[in-house]
Amino acid sequence: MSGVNAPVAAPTNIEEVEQLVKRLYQPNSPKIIQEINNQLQHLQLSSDGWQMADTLLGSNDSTVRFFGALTFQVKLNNDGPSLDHSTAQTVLTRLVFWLVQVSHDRDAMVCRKLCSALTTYFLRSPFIWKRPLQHLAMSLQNGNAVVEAPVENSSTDISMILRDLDSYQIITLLWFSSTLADEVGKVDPNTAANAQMHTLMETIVRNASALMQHAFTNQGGEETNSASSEALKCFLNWVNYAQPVWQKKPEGLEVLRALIEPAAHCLTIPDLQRHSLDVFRDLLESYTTFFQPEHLHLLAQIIDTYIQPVLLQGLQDKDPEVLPYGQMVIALGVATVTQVVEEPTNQYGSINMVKLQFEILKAPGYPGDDDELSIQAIEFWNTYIEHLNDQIFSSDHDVELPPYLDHSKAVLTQVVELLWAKMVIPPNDVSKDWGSDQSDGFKDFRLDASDLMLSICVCLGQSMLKQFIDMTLQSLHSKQWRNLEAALFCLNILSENIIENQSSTVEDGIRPIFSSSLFREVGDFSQSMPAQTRRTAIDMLGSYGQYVERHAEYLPDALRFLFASLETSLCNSAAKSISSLCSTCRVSLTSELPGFLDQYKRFLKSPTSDSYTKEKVIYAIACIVQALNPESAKVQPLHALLENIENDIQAAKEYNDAGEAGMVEVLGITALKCLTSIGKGLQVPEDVVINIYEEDEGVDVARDRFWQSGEGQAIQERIMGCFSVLQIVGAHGDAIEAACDVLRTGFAETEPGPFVLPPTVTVSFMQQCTLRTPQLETVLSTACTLITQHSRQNSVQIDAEATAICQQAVLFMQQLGNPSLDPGVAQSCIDVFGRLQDRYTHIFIDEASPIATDLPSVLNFMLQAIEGVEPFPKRAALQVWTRLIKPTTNKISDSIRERSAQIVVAYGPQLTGALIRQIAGMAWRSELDYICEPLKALVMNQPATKLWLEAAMTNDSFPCVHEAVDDAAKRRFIQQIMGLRGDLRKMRDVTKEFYAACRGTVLSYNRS
Amino acid sequence: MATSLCMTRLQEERKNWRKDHPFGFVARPAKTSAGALDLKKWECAIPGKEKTLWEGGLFKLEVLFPDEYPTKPPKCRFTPPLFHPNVYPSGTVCLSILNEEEGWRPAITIKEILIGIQMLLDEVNPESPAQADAYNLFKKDRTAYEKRVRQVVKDNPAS
Repeated sequence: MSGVNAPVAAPTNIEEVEQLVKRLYQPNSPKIIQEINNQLQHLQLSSDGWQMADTLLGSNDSTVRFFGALTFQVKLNNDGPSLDHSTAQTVLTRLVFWLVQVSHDRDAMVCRKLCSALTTYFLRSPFIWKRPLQHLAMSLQNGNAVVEAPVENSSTDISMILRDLDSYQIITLLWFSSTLADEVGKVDPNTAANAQMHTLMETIVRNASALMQHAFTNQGGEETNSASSEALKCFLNWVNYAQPVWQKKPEGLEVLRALIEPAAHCLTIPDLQRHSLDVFRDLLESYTTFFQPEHLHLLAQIIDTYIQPVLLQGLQDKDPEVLPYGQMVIALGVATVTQVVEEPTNQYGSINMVKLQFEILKAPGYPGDDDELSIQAIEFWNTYIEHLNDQIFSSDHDVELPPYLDHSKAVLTQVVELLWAKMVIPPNDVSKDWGSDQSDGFKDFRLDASDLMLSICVCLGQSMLKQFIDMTLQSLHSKQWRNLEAALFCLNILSENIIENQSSTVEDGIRPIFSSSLFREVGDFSQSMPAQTRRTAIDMLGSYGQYVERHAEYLPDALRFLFASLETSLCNSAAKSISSLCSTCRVSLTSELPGFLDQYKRFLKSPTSDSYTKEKVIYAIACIVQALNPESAKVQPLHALLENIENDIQAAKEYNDAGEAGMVEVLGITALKCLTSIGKGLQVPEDVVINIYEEDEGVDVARDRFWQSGEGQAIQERIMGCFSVLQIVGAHGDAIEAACDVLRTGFAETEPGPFVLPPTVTVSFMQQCTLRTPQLETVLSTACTLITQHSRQNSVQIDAEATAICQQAVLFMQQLGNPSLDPGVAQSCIDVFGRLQDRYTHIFIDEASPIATDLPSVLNFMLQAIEGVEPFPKRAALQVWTRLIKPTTNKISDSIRERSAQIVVAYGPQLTGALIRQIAGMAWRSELDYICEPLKALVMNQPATKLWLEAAMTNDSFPCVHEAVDDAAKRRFIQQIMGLRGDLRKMRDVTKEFYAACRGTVLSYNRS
Repeated sequence: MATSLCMTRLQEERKNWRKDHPFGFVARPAKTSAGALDLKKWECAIPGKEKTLWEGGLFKLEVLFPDEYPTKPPKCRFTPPLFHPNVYPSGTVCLSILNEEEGWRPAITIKEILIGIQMLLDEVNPESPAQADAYNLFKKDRTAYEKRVRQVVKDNPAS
């Protein structure tokens, strides 16, 4: 073995080369293999390569011969185009000679390699090899390489020659023919040299066809079968070659089409069936128009006689081998869909096809597990329904519906039922053995089937709904829970189509479901049924929420079921459904409120009550409270809800004393989140009409007073009392965020309510914060929202609070110093000033404002933000500057306007400098659109802008940019910007060009 | 002509999607008021990728194709808007392959778009932030960000 690992010396004679080749294919270290490879490659590329290749082909070792053939191919690839005529002739003759030899020796590996090498010769030689198949066939017949020249003029019919060849020689020719079609197909036909090659193929195909014809018709023995099998491969390669190249050359195509019949005969021969099924399926899917009607008819007949029996038996036996048989049927069905749909009485073309498609769906087994075909059959039915729907909706049939529609509807009704049966979930003893592959596969089938059902619904409409309702009621009656689940699942798929359509027939259609015992049955947890059935029933309440909303009489059953589900593994979906139903149906549920409050209390003791479920359910109950009238009726239930929250807070405090930090966090934050949920539930729904004429002013005043005094105020105080939990959880960002959410719930209200707290509450909350407060940006943005809400018409103006908010924001900016240190806080602080519009502008601008002395630091902070790397503070600052330069409304006084202008003049040079540095490459490209906004405002509003731009371009702070941007380029840019006078879109384009030039990402900056 | 190119391509996309689509994804043309399919507006859903924070979620997405499709990219919008650094407050997805000036190529298929968006969920691109909330939390407090994502997943369960 020592020789194997010896260092690799350059071989000095052919024996050594042979040794080296043998070592190449022996196990060895990667390094050694690489060295051997280098040595051999060196030889291959040398001028002795041809000779070496030829000698190696004479070896008695197959791997060495293979390497010889490979060397020929490598040489042809490298040197082919530069061969002189005599060398080319020699190379071809030697290759043909060896092919004849190797074919005689039946060395498949080398034989195939030689076929590849000969194909490479065809592609790379500068001399046309006009009739390669004729040449090879004659040589094989002759037992030696014949000279090419006479072949060119030979009038001998290749079929005559083929008769003299044995099966292996035929197979050899088929290998070559296959490779040729495959390789030439990869060559772009759109160059002159290649075009010639492709033209040649138009004559070669005649020999190729005769060859395949020969192989297809001489069947019987084992070896002739393998010749047929190779002929099938060859046929596929030639058709694949022809598809793109011969679109406008019917002659070549016809030659190949003539082979369909003999090739299809392979489908009838058991040993060839598998392979021929794959080939025909491939062709039907990829090149349907290759087949003429008579071919499709032939295939349908063959399927009927030869494929169907195997398919039906295999389906019954759940034999995985059945797959290609089914796929063939599906592919033919898709290819002939027009006929299947439009000629329903055609025996082979439609009746048999539909019957087989049904059989596939009827077969036993679960999709994703032991049934692989159903999911593929969906493709056929999708094609079927899409063709049908196109016919129904196409304008030609405006007046008349297609005559076959009734028949199609009957077919589809059966499809729907079969799909439903396939969608039924497996019993436990099957699914317990399923891994994720099986259950994913099954889910995938249900999704695909759902998609198909929606398309079918377009055609069947109402009757399909009826079909599922009957199935639901039957399954319910017979307590077949898995069937029930599938029927409910299908009803859920259709819900959107049904809900949209509010006609009374549709409403009547769905009524039997909701008036049935469905929700009592699934809500009876003493009955054993799959959890999936209950889950799908819950989903149904989500899907048909709008229907239930219109029919409040069905609510109690549904909600009792949902509340019962809260204490099971279905709690999350149940909670979600409860919240959406109670929110939409609040008015109908007020009488149920006491019961729900009790159920909520009970639920709190269940292990399934966590933050998520509690929030959802307490929101649901608060929605019902909102619907109570008058305001005083809300007090008692609110006390009851708040009590639950206070209990959590109390418990959190006790855990805090006991040092159990984890529980403190969970309970404390949950308490605040639930408080938010109450606040959200109490918000007046958007669809409630608000009396804007205030005719009933007396009622409003009473409402106003109600929450600000007496028992109303007591509620507000109790809500504010809940904030005490921040003493123990205030260090958590989630808690701060939750507290802000509580405050916000009141902001959106236009009328007084329990969560509409005085603005000072928000302000003092903010004042208690420091830079170390987590989620400080949320607090700041809450303050921003407060300002916006109090900027609306008819809202109370809150100058003092807005000023206090600004002062606090200024403090944070000053403490922060640099916006990049905390971009979130920086952005929110800048945003505060962005919110000061119209009635509050004076707080920002007025010389008399308490923040007037801090104004420079605010403006500098915003300049820094523009030049920082953080995107959001940058965008916020650009926005505030834009508004400062060009006030958006005229609701401000002249003195404020004048003072704004003074500020802009004072800061103009600095601002322009900052903007230009960004445009000169400092910004991200995506930020340029934002940067153009203040630039445009400056151009439009400030006469000095041009001077500022020039200064910015020439002073030392202009960044180092690509050399293409010289002074002229800068001047041109300024000219363009000024010349565009506010065309923002063009300004953006110009800016991007300049930016790219500065960064050197374009070759030349447009000098036009 | 442009419109018909658009429609031909969309029909092809639909066919290809039906034949071969990744597990858990939904993509289907919406219905017009007449009941036919509106090929230029697709209702889609993207599942959170396995073994990521987003696993177990299913996020609805609307894909709108302009008349100039496939020369111009479709617009993808999460409905409702999604908490994610690269999703605008409107729900529109900010992704280079969906940007005409950046990575869009007419050969990009719907499947590739949806898988691209699925990958974006877990592979945030901090260089083109689209919403401040998610971006700031992502940059500042990864734990809190991940907690929020888990909440989003819980609110949009796959089944």
